[in-house]
Amino acid sequence: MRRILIPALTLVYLGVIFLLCFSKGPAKGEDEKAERAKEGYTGVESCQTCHFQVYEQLTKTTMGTLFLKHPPTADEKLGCETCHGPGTDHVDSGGKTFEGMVRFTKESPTPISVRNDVCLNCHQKRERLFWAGSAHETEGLACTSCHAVHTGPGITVRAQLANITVGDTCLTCHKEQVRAELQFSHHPLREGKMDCASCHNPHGTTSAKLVKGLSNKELCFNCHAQYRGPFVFQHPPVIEDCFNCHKPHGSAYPSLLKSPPIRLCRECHITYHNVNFTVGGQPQTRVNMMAGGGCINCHRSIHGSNNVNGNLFSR
Amino acid sequence: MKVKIKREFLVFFLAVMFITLTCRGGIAEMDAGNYTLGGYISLGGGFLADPPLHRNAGFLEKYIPFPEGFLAETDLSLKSKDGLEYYRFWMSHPGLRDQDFLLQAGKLGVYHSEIEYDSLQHLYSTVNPFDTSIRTLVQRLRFSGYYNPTLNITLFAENDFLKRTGSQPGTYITGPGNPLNFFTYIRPIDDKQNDLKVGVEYDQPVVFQGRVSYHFSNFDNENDLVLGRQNTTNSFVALPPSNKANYVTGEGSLNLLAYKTRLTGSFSYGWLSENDLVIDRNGVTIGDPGLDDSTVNANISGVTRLWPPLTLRYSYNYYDFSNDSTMNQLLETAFGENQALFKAEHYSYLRQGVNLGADYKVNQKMAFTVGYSWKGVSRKHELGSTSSHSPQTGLRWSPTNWLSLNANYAFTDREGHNNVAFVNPTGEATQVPLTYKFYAGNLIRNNANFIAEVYPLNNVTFSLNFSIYNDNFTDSDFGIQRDRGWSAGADVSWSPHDRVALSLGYDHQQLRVKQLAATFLINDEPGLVGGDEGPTLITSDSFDTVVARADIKLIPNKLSLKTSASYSHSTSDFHNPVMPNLNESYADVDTWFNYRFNDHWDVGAGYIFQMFRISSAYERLFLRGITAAGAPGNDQSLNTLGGFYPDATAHVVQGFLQYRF
Repeated sequence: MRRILIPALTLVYLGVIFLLCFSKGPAKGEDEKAERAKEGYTGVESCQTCHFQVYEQLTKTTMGTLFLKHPPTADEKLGCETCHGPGTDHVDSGGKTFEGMVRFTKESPTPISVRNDVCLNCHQKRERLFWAGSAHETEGLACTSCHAVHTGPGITVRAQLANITVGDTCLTCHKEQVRAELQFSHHPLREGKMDCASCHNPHGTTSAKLVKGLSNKELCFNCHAQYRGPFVFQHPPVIEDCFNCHKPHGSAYPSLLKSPPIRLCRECHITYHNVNFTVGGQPQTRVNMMAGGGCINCHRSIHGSNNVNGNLFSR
Repeated sequence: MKVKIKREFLVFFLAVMFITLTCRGGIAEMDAGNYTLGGYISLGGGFLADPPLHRNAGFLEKYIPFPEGFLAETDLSLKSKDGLEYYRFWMSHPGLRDQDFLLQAGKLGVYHSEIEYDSLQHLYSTVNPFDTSIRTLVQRLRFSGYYNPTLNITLFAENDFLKRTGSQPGTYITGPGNPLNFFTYIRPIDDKQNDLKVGVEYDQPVVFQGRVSYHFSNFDNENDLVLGRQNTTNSFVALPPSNKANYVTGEGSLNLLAYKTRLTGSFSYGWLSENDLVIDRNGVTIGDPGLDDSTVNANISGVTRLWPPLTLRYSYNYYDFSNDSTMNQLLETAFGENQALFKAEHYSYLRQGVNLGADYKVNQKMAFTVGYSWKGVSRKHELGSTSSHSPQTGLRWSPTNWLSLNANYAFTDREGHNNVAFVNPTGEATQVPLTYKFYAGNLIRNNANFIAEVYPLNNVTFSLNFSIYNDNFTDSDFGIQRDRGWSAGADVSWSPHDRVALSLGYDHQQLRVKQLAATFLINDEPGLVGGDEGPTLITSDSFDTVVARADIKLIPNKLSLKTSASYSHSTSDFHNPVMPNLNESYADVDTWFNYRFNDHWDVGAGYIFQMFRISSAYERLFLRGITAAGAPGNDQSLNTLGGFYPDATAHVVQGFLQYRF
């Protein structure tokens, strides 16, 4: 019953959202925008006078090309003032006041939510759909904390990052995770074959930890579908969460395991073969059997088995 | 140190000589009709000075080979004069195992498409005497694009194709009878994975966004050897079976402007299937299983800002994984009378979560966050359920314009039921082990994070970070008892001059896991549970990481130096006399000099140093080869050909010549 009820309620919810959207017109009509453009807006030419270098940089970006040369909407025809708001007072004061303007610098008095709304007015779809309420939004991050609009080391890279690489951008706050790429077992990040955004959508997701996927396991199956199954014999921690056993950012042990193989399994399995643990201070036998892969030496198909004799994942 | 000048470097040297004879300038930006050509072409080469033995290079070449021989990188763009239409071709290391080619085309606001081919290797072992490069080559062909038929509608598609070929270390056992003996073999890998996503999105700016998409994922194990090792009785291992997954997803978001609220919802239904061959231990095909799973995922969330200083957040999520194979005839036969195991492995579960939060901005400098989360998991067949309550709080405070503090704390109380599996109530002999599912048991968690950013001078940034967690698996008689750790780090960036940028960072991380294991054996003393006579198992890991960078313009617009270095060391202490400490170290230095002849020509020279070290005890334990190809080793302390690598040091010298348009 729950499988029908909850999805049905969600569908109804989505339907209501859809209907509501068509019951309300656009927030402001195009005419209104065009009219507004005449009030308090000074025009791109005025901005260029003092901010020539910034203007030059902007023209080289995708956004600059659209805003300054091919604005598709009345809003974007306002050029710099599309984002910064009306600048007549600013110009009239010789650049001394910023009344009514939106500024994006770290010291700006403009609330971050207002700054972000400027960006989200156009960039709320696709990856940004779940920005509101996301971990980064909750932490008070501004779009410009990670992205550069006019200038910055990463202005020419995709997504116009504030730093040259995705890793450097995330490193600002997530040092432990990013530097784990230097550990013994790691995904190929430091080799340049992946970056943080390969697995995470920093703009918000419906899943925990901003992972791309319905849950952690769907994320991992994006590349490791060989472990997806279903299998004849299934290992419960695998069908619930890959991170029960693996540390995705880096590990001292092979295959990004959380613990050495022999001990990892013992987090759940307490009755075991007589292995390399001490009893009464004396080492036990079969040390060699449990070296390296440990339990996995014999229980090889640990993610699941399609062998009818594989009930202990040994085949 | 032996230095071998290769042909590529001779070509490079001659090219540099030629460049100095060319006149300065030439073309500012190459015109091509209505288009402008930009970008660069870099050609060069690299060689290993004092190259490490191939056997020792495993870790350093785990994913990508050393950059030696002829090297090329190109990033070319073609843009229409009006700036709307663009084409881009990017290429890196053609001909090497880490080669990458990307082609993009698009028109701003109308469409974008890109196709990329790239590859990497996964080198598992170089120490096996019969196959000195046990590795898989992973090749990826990716296409993605979108098209906007109107300003509000976007059609998008993405296809990601992965092909893995090569080999992997494998093991098998020959039981029953002697199940504790394992043997190694080199397992063939030949599989493909294809993920196709298509969808349509509707965007009414500021008001509504909606998206409907379909995702089809297909994994196809092309290896005809469904078996791991052929022609050995009792040794057949099933390779990962081919499988399919489909997901249909709808997502929508609405800004209720009058209520200053944004509502978001998503719904996804997925169905998974697997119908590959099922074999037995002798390699006899039993049939096709026809297994099915399905998932339902729904999410509803909202953010309300009715009063500017206060932000309210609320969400509910629902994830239902259903195992639809419980009536499967083949499974019933496979599990035989062991229906408890059948239920334990083929179960369904429902995961739900509720999150409530409030963010109160006291003033421009300070904001508080409080939140509460509930998570519940219930598994069918009475296989355990958990309920977690987690209050959280956070503070963001910038008391001055040169100091910013961010701290948060979360407490979690998880209550689990039926997290002990496979208890034999009669105490009779059994081979089924007692299992404590740590992820379904009681847990008390404390987690705190702190970051301070300081800007004492305009050209100096300093940051401190600290985090700590403590997981107590209360009421678990055995298995994991406690998992705790902390990390601390400091970073400083300094630009003493507009031509000099320096940075230095250090992190330390300490982890400690305590487990309690039973002292009895599966086959000898079954069914005894209780007491604390089991040996205590403690694993301590510590990680130290240092990173440094320098970016110096030695001669403005002429000569620049970029260098970065990192060092990482880990120590794992198993607190056990038969498990020696595991120490691993990795260091690299990457230094580049770049000289600009004129607006178009650059020349560069680089030096890369890489070093890997591992405890010698582990080299002895883990790195022994097998005695014959595919045959069991006399000494089974080998593992298994993969996982750990020998010590290695590499020095790579590189040079390039670059032309910029």
